[in-house]
Amino acid sequence: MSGMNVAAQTLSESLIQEGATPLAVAAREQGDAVRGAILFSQQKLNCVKCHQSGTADLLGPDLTLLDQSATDSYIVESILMPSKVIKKGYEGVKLLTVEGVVVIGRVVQEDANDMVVRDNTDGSRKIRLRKAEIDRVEPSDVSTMPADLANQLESRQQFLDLCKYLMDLAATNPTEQMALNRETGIEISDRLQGLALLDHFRCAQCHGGLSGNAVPAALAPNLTSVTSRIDPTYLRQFVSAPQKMKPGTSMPNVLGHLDEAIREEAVTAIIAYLRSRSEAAFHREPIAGPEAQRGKETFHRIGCVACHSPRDEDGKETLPEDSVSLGDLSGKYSRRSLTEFLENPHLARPAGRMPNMKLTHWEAVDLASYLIGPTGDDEKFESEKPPANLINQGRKLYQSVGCANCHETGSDRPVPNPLITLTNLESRLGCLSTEAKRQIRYDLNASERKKLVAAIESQNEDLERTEQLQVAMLTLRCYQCHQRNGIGGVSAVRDLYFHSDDPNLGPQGRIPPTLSHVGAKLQPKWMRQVMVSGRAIRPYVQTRMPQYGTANVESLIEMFQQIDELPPRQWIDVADPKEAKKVGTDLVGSNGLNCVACHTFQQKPAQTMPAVDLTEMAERLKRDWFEIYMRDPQSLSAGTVMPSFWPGGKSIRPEILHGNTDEQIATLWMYLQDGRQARQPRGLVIEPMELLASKEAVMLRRNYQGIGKRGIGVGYPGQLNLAFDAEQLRLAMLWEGKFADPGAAWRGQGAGTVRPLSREVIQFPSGPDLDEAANPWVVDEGRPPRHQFKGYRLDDLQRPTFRYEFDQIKVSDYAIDLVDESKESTVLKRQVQFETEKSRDGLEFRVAGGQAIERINESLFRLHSGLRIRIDDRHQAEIRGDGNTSRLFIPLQLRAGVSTLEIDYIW
Amino acid sequence: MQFWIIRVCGFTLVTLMVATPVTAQPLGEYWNTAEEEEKYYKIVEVPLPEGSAIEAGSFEVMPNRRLAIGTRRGDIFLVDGAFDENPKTTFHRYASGLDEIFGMTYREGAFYVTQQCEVTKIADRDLDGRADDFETLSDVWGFGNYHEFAFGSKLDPEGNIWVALCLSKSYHSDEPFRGWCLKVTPDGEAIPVCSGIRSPCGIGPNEHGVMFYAESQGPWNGSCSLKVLEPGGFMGHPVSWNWYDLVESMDRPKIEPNTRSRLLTERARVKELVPYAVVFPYIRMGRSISGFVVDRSGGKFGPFENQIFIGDFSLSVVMRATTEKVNGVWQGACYPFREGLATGLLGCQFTPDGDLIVGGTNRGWPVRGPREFAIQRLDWTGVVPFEIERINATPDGFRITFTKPVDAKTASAPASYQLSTFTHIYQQGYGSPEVDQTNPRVTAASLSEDRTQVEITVDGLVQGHVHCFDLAAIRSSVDGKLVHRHAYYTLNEIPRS
Repeated sequence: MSGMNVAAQTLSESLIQEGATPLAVAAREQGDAVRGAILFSQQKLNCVKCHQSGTADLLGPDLTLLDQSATDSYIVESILMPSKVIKKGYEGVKLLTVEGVVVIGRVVQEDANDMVVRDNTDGSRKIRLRKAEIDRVEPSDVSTMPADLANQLESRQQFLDLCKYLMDLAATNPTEQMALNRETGIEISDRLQGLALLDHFRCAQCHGGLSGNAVPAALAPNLTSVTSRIDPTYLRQFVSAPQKMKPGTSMPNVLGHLDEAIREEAVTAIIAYLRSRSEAAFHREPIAGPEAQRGKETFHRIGCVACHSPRDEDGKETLPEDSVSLGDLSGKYSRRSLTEFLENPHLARPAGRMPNMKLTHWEAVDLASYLIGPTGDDEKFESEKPPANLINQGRKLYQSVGCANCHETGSDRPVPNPLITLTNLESRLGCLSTEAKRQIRYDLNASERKKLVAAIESQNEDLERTEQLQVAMLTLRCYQCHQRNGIGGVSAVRDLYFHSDDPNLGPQGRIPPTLSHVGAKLQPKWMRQVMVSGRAIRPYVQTRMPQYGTANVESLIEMFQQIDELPPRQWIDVADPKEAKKVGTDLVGSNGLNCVACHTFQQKPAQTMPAVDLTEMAERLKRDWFEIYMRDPQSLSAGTVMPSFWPGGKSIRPEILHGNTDEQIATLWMYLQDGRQARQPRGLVIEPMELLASKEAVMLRRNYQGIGKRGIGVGYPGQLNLAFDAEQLRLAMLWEGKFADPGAAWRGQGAGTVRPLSREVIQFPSGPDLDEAANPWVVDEGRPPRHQFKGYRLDDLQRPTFRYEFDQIKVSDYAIDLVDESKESTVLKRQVQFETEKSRDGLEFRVAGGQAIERINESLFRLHSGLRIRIDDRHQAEIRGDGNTSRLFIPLQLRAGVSTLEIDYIW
Repeated sequence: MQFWIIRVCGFTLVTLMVATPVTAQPLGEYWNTAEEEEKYYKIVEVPLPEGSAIEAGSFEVMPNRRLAIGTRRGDIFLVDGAFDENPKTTFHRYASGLDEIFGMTYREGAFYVTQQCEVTKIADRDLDGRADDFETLSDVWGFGNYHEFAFGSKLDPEGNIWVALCLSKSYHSDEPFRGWCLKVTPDGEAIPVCSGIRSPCGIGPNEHGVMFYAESQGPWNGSCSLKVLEPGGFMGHPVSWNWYDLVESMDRPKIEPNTRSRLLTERARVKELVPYAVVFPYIRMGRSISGFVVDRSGGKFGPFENQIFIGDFSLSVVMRATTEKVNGVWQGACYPFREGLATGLLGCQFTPDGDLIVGGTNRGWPVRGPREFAIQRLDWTGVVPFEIERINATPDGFRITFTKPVDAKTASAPASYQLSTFTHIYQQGYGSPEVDQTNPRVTAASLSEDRTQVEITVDGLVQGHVHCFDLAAIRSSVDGKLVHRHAYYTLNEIPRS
């Protein structure tokens, strides 16, 4: 290699060279604020990560608070050369700890002992340092904002757009922030946590009298058929020592007070009783194959690990302390029984605490294979029913030790054995005492004990509705994924298991949505569909919203709806809905606010990202929420990539409806009300469709230009294409190159024509190829009365032979594509066969027309477009007419039998 | 192949009707019964190959438990595994390049396919698993506008295919036989059956083997309905009458229907006019009823053997219908069945195991189902739902059959049967509001010995009206509520006693 490589100038460099002032002028004149707003929110630039509205302690200032002191060139410079002008209060520091660690970032909080620094390398992280551990603090003169940000843009125009959006932000007066619940990490009181624990341990099943939970009490697993689902050995061990077999289980040890020998007898009897309640015996089949690997991936992706512990490569749980224990699943289940459980967990566990993850059968097989792990045995367990006296003994025990209080066994369930009600309980005795000799033993730690005591001791105090909802959400573990009013949300240690299909959507693309204000946001019917029927609106979030069972969640819908309210708002009603929808269509489209640049429209994802479908907003949202969200998306959804198009209440599209914010938002609302039937806005980008020949020919019967509805297009492997008219029985069109775009016929109602993928299409005039010379059909748009299409046959390369009849002459028309590499030409070799019982005279066959034709020699002709036509030497062709009325005809005298006409079309 | 056509030439007719602008209609309320329906009929996904666009228009069951799918994009796919309990499918493309397949039968090695442009016999002559012979059986009808859809039945016992031909743009009949039903015989003869069709979306025999089609709401059709394709009959939309000139065996009706009238009134005037047999009240029972099929599974699909199952394109629901001939006229009832399918339904087909395959696409028109295309299967869980099994007309009321014994107290109380009636304006304009409402009174309800049937005596039956039943008060013998409380009986004729 020789020569010098001259480094190309980056966009950032060339913009800096152009200078801030000219760029500022250009941005004001040529920048498009809407496009800028969309850029601002895109993941690539990630502006929102550091410049979120309404959040004070980020790396960068809240840009919605920009005011008129931010001049145009200041804005340009701030992006191009962030270190030149650093806003006061946003200077960076460099810290050196005594351990020698360097931290660069912005000090967001400082007191006598500590310093909290927003980390420069990861703007979402705050680091708390004890001052005693800090060795040195140095001011940094480098801005925390990346210097070459402009290089993330594609063009100067994009830079101008972004600047213009920021200029619009600066031109508006900052409004009061809505400040709707921004706190996080709020702890729920011991009492409420205790109430959730009372549910978890099913205390009320024995004690009765529990109140305060909107969710129906947790029932223990249904034990009908348990011995066909669960390995008898495991079951035996579990009954005799539940906490040992499954640490963290909510099942108490009810036999722990018995001597070992007596205990073993009791277990045998109880198992015998349970076996009498099952039809089939447990059966374990071997597991091998790729299912387990897929199951592992599913387990860590769809949300199982929101509650259960993730597992490392060796299958070891990585967060056992903090998770719902699974115990020894390989000892407990067979693959089939675990698959069945996972497909419908509520059959065995109707309480829904283990939700239905909406698994397909095969996903359940994968998961079960992974969770059980490889096993090689094919084991059948004895299916004989135990002796009746043993069963009877077991049944008595089942009742007396309290199994029947929690566990269903179908029609034969013994009467439960109620104990003292919770309200009358002495909370430091009984199950909660630490004394070793008690009969029913729970494995409680001090914290759990404390919370349970708090709950029991405050039994008589009524719960607020909000508290009831909190208990319900704790009970169903909603907080594992959802944050609501500062409580809960995905924990830092599990964050990495929440994935998105589309990184452009940022955290909201992968983290389940906040439930703050959700009752004021969502229509009750939609909420029911999500919670009861598992409807999902965010296909890009890989974690699934599971189903808890109708009975277990339906009360929550009403609670959300009743509790949540937003500050009351006035909105305007539109006098002329039809006109409003029209304006709404413009606003949604690319000439308006370009919502379709990011939002899915009628299931078709937008180009930049698949944000929530616009045509499903009406079914989901309430007007109050919408009005607030439009004005300030961040106030309701912190960190959303949705930009504000009305910063400070002022529209960045002043030319529509005179920039009236209320009216613009009202027309948008009206537009969205049409739901799935909303008019298609401008700017929807439709991916082009191409139908191409491969090694074989490709065909499509549809409407072609100039043919009508009975067109048959054929794309040949040799990059030649034709369209045959099956109504007028003629070769109608020829073109070289790629075959066709079927989009107009395959989209929408299919009203359009198939478009050849070539600009040079040779079209022959209407009228059949074969006709009587003296008395031809007078050509019109219709169908020649004596011609009849008979279909076609395909050769090995899917190339058709068209068949038709004219006046008892059977015609077959077959073409093949040839590439003559020596002459650098492509040839369509057409072979037309005529079969007639008696000889026929006075016929003619048209081989071309519609443009000037010249004769090169006896058998070779050239069309004006350059296409050459060669006729076989058994036939003579004649040119008739001139210019566009030219036709190339072959007079035919057919003998009885079969005769053939060969025509080459040569490019 | 023979031709009965005398003179067909393509010319455009000047039509008298002007399209009234149609404002977007809402997709309406759900039945809100999906949660309950799920217990009896579960929706099983038939997986489609990734990256494919399979817009099913019709289905066929092949030997060896194979499913054949004919698509709007003109492919025929052969699918293995679609009938398995937990389907894992493999797709094989048998043919492609066809034009909107809405009708498909497989018989003795060949497919008989109705596509928009023609009826075609398709075969694989070299037995390489792909079609290579496409024989045009009939293309006699005119085809000049994309909206001129053609829906073909499966082969009838004589081997004929009945083809219902949609009007041109729903208001006109610009091409020969738009708005007609033609019967294409095995040797390619096309016999005109009847005129007056508007916009069909399904065709096939009813449970008694008589050929019916699904008509859509629009001009001269107050709502969607099932109609019988009566030879020589007139289905209600007179714009297709100009083609009687092409038919030797039939004369143009002497009397034209009046617009802004009632079907019952016009039936008396226009003797060829065939009334709708089962009206599907708009929105409450679909918005674009489509392909239908009779349950011949012998009970494998639950308690509705020998009933019609019909999909809806707009609302992504499956409904049931029953028909009976009263005083020589077909009529019957429709019943909600299952909502919550994933896409706009176009075709349906029972599998050899007695499950119901449904599928389609949501392109082109508004559809409730959210997916661009889907194929799903309804499997009976084996649990019998408590439903209105069927309603029959009696001289003084109706006989209602339930799927399970009913509670004697609620079922014997006349007040448990809330009836209302309505009819449509029979008019040239698009659709019709429900008009002439009445509220008949049930005066007696007598329970059969096995408590599955109730004969109700009705004071105020209205001939020609749709009778809407609301049986919310009825309980099963174990205090169960009906899965669906509503049913709709179209009372063209009151049986003579």
